[in-house]
Amino acid sequence: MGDKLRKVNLLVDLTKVLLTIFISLVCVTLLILLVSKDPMKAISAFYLGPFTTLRRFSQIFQLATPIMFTGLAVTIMLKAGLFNMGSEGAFFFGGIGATCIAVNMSMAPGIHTIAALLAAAVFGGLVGIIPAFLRAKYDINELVVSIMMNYVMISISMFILNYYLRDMSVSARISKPFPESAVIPRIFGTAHFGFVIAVVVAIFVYVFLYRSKLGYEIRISGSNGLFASYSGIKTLKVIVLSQVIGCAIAGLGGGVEVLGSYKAFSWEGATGYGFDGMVVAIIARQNPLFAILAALFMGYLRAGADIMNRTSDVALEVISVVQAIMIVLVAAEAFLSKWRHKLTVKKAGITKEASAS
Amino acid sequence: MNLILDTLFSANTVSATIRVLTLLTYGSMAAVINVTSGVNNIGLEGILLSSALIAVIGSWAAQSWVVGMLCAVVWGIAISLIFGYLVMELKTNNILCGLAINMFASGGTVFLLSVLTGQKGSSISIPHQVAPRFTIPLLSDIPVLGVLFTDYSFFTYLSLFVILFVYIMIKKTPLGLKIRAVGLNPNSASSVGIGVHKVRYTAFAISGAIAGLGGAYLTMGYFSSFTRDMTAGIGFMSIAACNMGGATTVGAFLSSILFAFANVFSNVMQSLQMSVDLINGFPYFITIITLFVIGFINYQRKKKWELKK
Repeated sequence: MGDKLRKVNLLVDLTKVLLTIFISLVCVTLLILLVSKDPMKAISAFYLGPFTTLRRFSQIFQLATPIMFTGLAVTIMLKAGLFNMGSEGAFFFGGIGATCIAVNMSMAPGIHTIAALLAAAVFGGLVGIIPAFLRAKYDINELVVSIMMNYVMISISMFILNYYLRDMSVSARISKPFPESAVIPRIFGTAHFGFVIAVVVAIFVYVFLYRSKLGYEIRISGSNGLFASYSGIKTLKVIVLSQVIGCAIAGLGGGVEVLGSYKAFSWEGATGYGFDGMVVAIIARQNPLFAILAALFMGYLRAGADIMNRTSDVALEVISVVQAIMIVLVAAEAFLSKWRHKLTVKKAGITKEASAS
Repeated sequence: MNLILDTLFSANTVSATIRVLTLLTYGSMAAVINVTSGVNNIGLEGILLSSALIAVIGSWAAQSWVVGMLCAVVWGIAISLIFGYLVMELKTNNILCGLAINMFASGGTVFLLSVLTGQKGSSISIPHQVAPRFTIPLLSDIPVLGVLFTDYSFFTYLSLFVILFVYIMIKKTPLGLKIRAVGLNPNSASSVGIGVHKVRYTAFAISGAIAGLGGAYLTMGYFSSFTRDMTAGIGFMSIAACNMGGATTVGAFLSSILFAFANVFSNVMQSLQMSVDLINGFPYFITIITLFVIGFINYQRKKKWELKK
């Protein structure tokens, strides 16, 4: 019975996600038709552009990497029942952490990269502590605190960049260039090994959430906090740990992005990857393995939008419209709920007949 | 140090504070209505941002700031009602829905701007009418307090009426009573015959209209053009002010004053050649600290109450 119900839920969820993607793509196509002077060119650039050359194809993987990290970060944090948007600040701060090690130290190639990425994860994890603690202990709205934290972390990061990492020989506010030993090597085109790290982290998150004790405690605390505390789970500890781990993953993502895609730290403000991570987590229905697919899909959309932006008259920001529609429809519980109900009843009916005979 | 104090208590600082306060007032009043009706709308940031651009477009197309303002109000109501539809009929989580509105506004405004002007950064190439500024004749002649009545945008004076309106509506009218009842417990409200959805739609519409006014002020008073992501967290700060004030009209207004002052304080520090980077984060930092203080006090109170029991 449970197994059949799970099948029904999977079928409905999958249909829902696919239908949502379809609806949002129809919307974006209509938008392009409405505003573009040469819509066919824009549409073909958007949908087919990423497959025209190997370099453009590699961009899908490059763009999927950061949002896969933030998507996984948001997944863990959502599983603990918190709407923590700190992944944005953690991503940024993680980038600064990696830059600190990469620029100021000299180590053997490989080890240097690993040290920098570890620093990124630690920096990111720090960002998660405050909103989580304030929420778990004093019941302060973690969403508002974490968004405020993002602004604070970005300003601290810019301070560190300006006073400790900045390349004084150029007028732009960028860090000194990364040494060869710290850079993450490329796989092909612009795709770098950060993508592989992201996939490994996704598998790790899956095992962590569904096969470890702490993962179980996180899921229980998230789905029913009172039950968790009555059954002896230290919810305060579990919630804070979950947010720290989530933000550490986001921070690691920041480090990977900086060392993989840039020659020096050159972000000037929020990257937006934290919010995109929310989209990935929601489309993947908070499943870490589906997050890989969701991130690749978003990477494809972004690569397409980028090419369309460069080759036609339609701005790449059009995909934020797609993202908004996707979040709303996938999260809409009433959407397709009648069908889910019908299927569930039907399955239940069959089992009743089977047990009668 | 003297220089800091002098700058801090100058007439300029007071008027700058009032200008930021106007913005926060619209935001926090909108948030107060949402929270009172029981559904927090995180999309406030996006409503402010998008209605700011709509105000520019309306005002540019008609070359009249009143039209711009009305467009922004209608837009604010529309987005707020869509939010209500998604949350109540489609049963979308209200926080995700709010985030979607923010995302939609952040990208959508840039997209619309690029369609209209071919530029993504700002709306300077479509000049629009801004709201007039007023000085109240007699009151502005008072020696020290005169600065409180000198040379403010129409929207600043309007915001005082908005506070009064929200206060009276929530406390004194049948609609306000219904909104409070629905916010406290929708089930018991519906058991005595209050249409929960209808009341919430009304509340969202009013809140959206106020947020629309706030957006209009952003581009027709506070600044005189639209720049991308110009809200910079002011919507979230309004929600924080509302949280801090315990979702009451007066409390939210008082917290808004604090945040407005923190904002201006950071600008003053900037003019005194301190590290710009750290100071940029100062208002947000103050927001976290005050939220913490309020949460801490509530926690202690609750603990004491539990001990008594």
